Order: sequence, then structure tokens, then C-alpha cells
Amino acid sequence: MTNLLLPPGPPDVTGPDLRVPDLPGMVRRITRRGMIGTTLATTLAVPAFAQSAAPAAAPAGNAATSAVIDVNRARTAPIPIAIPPFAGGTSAGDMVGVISNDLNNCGLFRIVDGSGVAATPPGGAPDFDAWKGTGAQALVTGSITQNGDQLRVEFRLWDILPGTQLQGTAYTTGAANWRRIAHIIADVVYQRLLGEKGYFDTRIAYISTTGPGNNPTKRLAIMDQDGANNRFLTDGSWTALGPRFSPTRDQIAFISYINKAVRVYLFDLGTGTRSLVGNFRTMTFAPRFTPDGSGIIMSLYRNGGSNIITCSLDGGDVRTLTNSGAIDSSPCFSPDGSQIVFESDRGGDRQLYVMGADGSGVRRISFGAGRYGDPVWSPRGDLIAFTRLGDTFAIGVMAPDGSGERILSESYYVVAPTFCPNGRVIMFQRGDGDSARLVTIDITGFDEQALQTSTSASDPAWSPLLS
Amino acid sequence: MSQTVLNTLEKLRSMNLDQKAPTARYNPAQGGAPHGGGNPNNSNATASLTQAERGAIGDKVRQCWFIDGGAPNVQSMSVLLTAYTKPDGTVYRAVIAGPDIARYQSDPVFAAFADRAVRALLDYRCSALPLPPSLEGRPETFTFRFSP
Repeated sequence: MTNLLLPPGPPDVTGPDLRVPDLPGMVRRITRRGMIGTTLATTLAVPAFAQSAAPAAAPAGNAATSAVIDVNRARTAPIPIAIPPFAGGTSAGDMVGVISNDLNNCGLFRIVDGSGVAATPPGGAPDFDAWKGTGAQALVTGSITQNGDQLRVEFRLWDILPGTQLQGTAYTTGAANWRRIAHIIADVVYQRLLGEKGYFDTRIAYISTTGPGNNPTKRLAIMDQDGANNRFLTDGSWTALGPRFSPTRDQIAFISYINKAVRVYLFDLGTGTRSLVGNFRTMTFAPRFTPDGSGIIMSLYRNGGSNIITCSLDGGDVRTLTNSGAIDSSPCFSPDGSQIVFESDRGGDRQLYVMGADGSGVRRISFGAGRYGDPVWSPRGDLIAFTRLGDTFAIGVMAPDGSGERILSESYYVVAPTFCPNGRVIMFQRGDGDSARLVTIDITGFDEQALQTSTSASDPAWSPLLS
Repeated sequence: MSQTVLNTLEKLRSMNLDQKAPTARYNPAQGGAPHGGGNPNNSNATASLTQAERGAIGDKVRQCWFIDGGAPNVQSMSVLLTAYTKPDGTVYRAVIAGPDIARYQSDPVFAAFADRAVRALLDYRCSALPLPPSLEGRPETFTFRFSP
């Protein structure tokens, strides 16, 4: 019994008619909450002919038989997917190109050339037999309608071999948001075919370095995760280092040497203003936000060493978590907020330690050859990424108990790992000074790729999902 | 009844043939009746396959069996599928088998893993199963277990 194709029907579009505010001019106001709250996304019904992807039960009597044909020893391979041009289009930009690059560059999809297959009629079903011949297993079709400065984008995701529709959604937004819609569509495709949330609708904060080596200009910069929409948040009149995104607000914590004092600051992405975290009389550095975004965890210099403390965003409600006399630094909460990983030289050299969120139960987890630092806990909770300095620099991962250490990349200088929001990809810095560049790699150790930036780039920080 | 027939009957009785135990028995290797009979589309022929025949089918489908090696907990996953074949032995439909349906509906990573198993069975490179001659020429049903 094959899936029968009946004449297609029009897509069913329902939902509140909300509008996304246009981004004002060239000065981008990155108001994440504004965009999340006002983008129209409606579900497109499955065309009458194509079955939904709901699984059917095997007939009674066939289930749980003891006799099976085993298929094992699977190989790892990307999903072949075709993304032909969307009907219509927009003068704003190449939306299909952005979607294709997102999926292809993550290493888990392989874009298939479908130029020889007839276009899918609007609201209709693809010619599944023809698409099977291309080797594609998934297909994205869509249409774009531009009306002045407003866009309506419809897309459908198809499972070619069973001949079913997996997803159908329509978006209405300002034309200036065309890239974000492309990233959102790529995230939907990623999630539907892989089961995990995507990471394409995100941003990277980093430090841009320009100027002479003995007097560099270090500016806080931000860009989309694919390198687009790069802009500088500071003008270089004061140095910025070590940016970290808030998980809940449009804020970045960072270190600066304003007035020659090393302090932790907050940068508000909406207003473009900075504020000092607390009024500490000594150095504060290595900041990260607490998992709920309501506070900061960071290091506080003390008597030749540094303690790990938490405080509110204005520097109040200070709690000291470590007081070992050693240099305790680079703290990072586990995603559930119950534990903290940090680096310390309390044992003689820099190693990784894990403790409870209240500072109790400190235990060392790194025991390999070399010194360990820059720990960051995966959003999945299953891995801690780190920088290791042995014969060379290396970026690696280990389980939270220190087991299963794997090196992902080695070079004369690789540091500062940061996870994407689903924990699948790590970005880090390769090189230093004016040769510093940002690189991504899958946690399996495959698919290392360099990110193009107009200046040298260091200290990357990956934002949460914007949508 | 003619005398000839009666004589024949008498002769047979004297041979005690009707007093011997019946020797006729069903032949399960032919499939069908012991596993449901009636509608052949509901019969599962997996049990009728020899170990070697199952291995040959598994080897064929394995050529199309790909997973995402970095998915969470993928190495511990396993899914049962029921595959339906046409008379020429080509899989035309594959569905999640009963015990795994609940997990398919609640665990998206498992659902993605199971979807890949379905695609492996429907891939034209692997969907023509190497069936033994005894199972050719009619629709059949088979149970597959996919694991990493």
C-alpha cells in the first residue's frame, strides 16, 4: 500500500496578527524579547493528500515478537536534504542561502542539488518519486511574499521516503528580520530531524583587536553565529575582555580596565550602556551569570589569591564560595545550578575542580598531563569543556566527574571554549593577538570550521537561543 | 455399493490402517497458518527465517543505516519496526512497533533515531530484501530491531 497523492489544498494559516518591530537604521537594537514576542508564526496544515508524520501502530500480533532481524553497526552520516529556491522572494536577501549554509555548515546535513526536479506547486505536494532519485531524504519547500517592508514566509519540511509532511509554518515579520527568519527555519528543520533544539538563531559576542601590537584597541563586538551582522558595541576607548551572555536578559558581563582598575561590568544590549557590578575595592574578574540570570559568579582578588563569589547584578548580596588562599577562577555553573566547575592552583598548578553551588564538596576532576583552565559546563549537562596546556594547547571535553577526557583540537594556541545553546558545538579561539580567529567544532571532534571576521577575534561567548 | 468396493474396504480394515496413529502434521516452515493465517498481510514471517537469512537481510539494510553519532544517549538506543513488503520483496511501508510508540511520541531524540531506521528500510538501495524463495511472490511482514 503506497501513500496516495490527492490534489493539493491551500495552506491553512491561522493565528494572531502580530508584527515584529523594524530594526531602526544601522544602529541595531538587539531586543531579543521584542522579537520573540511579536513574530507571527502559524502552523500550516498538512495538504489533504500527504499523510502526517504520526507513527502508526503495528497491527496486533506483530508487536513484540521474539523473532527479529537485527540491523546494527550503524555508520554516522549527515542527512541529505534538498532546499530548492522558495517561490516568490525578497529583495532583502537570500533566505534559502542562509538556511542552506546553517544546515550544511553544522555538519549534520548535506545539501543535495535538486535543480533537475520540478518545483513543488504552491500549497501542493512534492514529486516524492523524483526527489528520491536525487538521494535526498528530506526536503524544504517554501514561498516568500514581500509587501512593502513586510514579509510573509511559508515553509514545509517533507520526509521524502515515507512521503509525509513533517512541519509546516508561516511567519510574518518586517523585511529587516529576513535573516532571523531564515535561522529560525533552519532551527525548526534541525529540531524536527535531529530531535534537539537548533542553535542557528543565536549571536556570538567576542573581542575584536586592532591596531599596533604594543597598543592594541580591544572592542566588544557582536555578530550572528554565521558571522553576519557584525557590529562593535564599544568604541575602543576602554578595553573590554571576557564577555559572557546573560541567559535571560539582553546583557553581557565583561571585564574592563577602566580607570586602570580591573572590574566586572554589565553591558546592556538594548540601551548600549555599561554599569559597574558592585563597588568592590579590589579586582573582580572572570564573570559569568547564574543560571537564572539574576546574579553574577566571579573571582575576587584577595591577599595574593582570588576567591569565587556570587552577588546580585548590582553587586549586593555577596556570598563567598571559596577561600582557599589559592587563585580560584573561571567559575561556571552547571545548567541545573546545583554545581560549579572552576579552575584553581590550590594543588600546585592549574587544575579543574567541581563543588556544590554553596561551595561545599570541592573535588578535583582533572588528572591528565598538563594544566587545565577555562572550564565551561555544557548546556546538556553531560560535558565540561576546557583548555589544556601541555606540550601544546588543546581544547577538550570531559564528563563532570572527570572521566572520558577527549581532546577535540590542538594547536600552538587554542583557548576559551564556549558551547552553543544545545551543547552540540564548541567555539574557541585559535591564535592570539592580530592572528586570533574563532573556530567551531562538533563535540564528536569532527567538522572543525573557521568563522570569518573582519578583524582578529578572541574570547568568544555564545548567546542563548533568541527565539 | 458394489461387491468390489466392499471387498476392498474389507481388505483395508484387515490391514489395520485405520487403527494406526495419524502421521499427517502441519509444516510451519511454509508460514501462514501457525502465525495467523487468513489475511496474509497480518502474518509476520520473521520467525520463519533462518539465522543466516535474517543475517543476510540485516546486512543488506545496514548499508542504509546511518545515525547521528553525537546525539544524546544514542549508543543505548534501540527501536523495533514492522516492515511490510510487496510480492517482489520490496519494503513499501515501515512503522514503529508497539512497545516503542510511546517513547517515539515523548522523546524527540529517540523519534529522530527511529525515523532514520524507517528511512533505512525505505531507501531504494536497501528496500529490496534478499528473501528466501519460500517467501517470495506474496506480501509479507517482518520485524526489525535497529541499534547503533
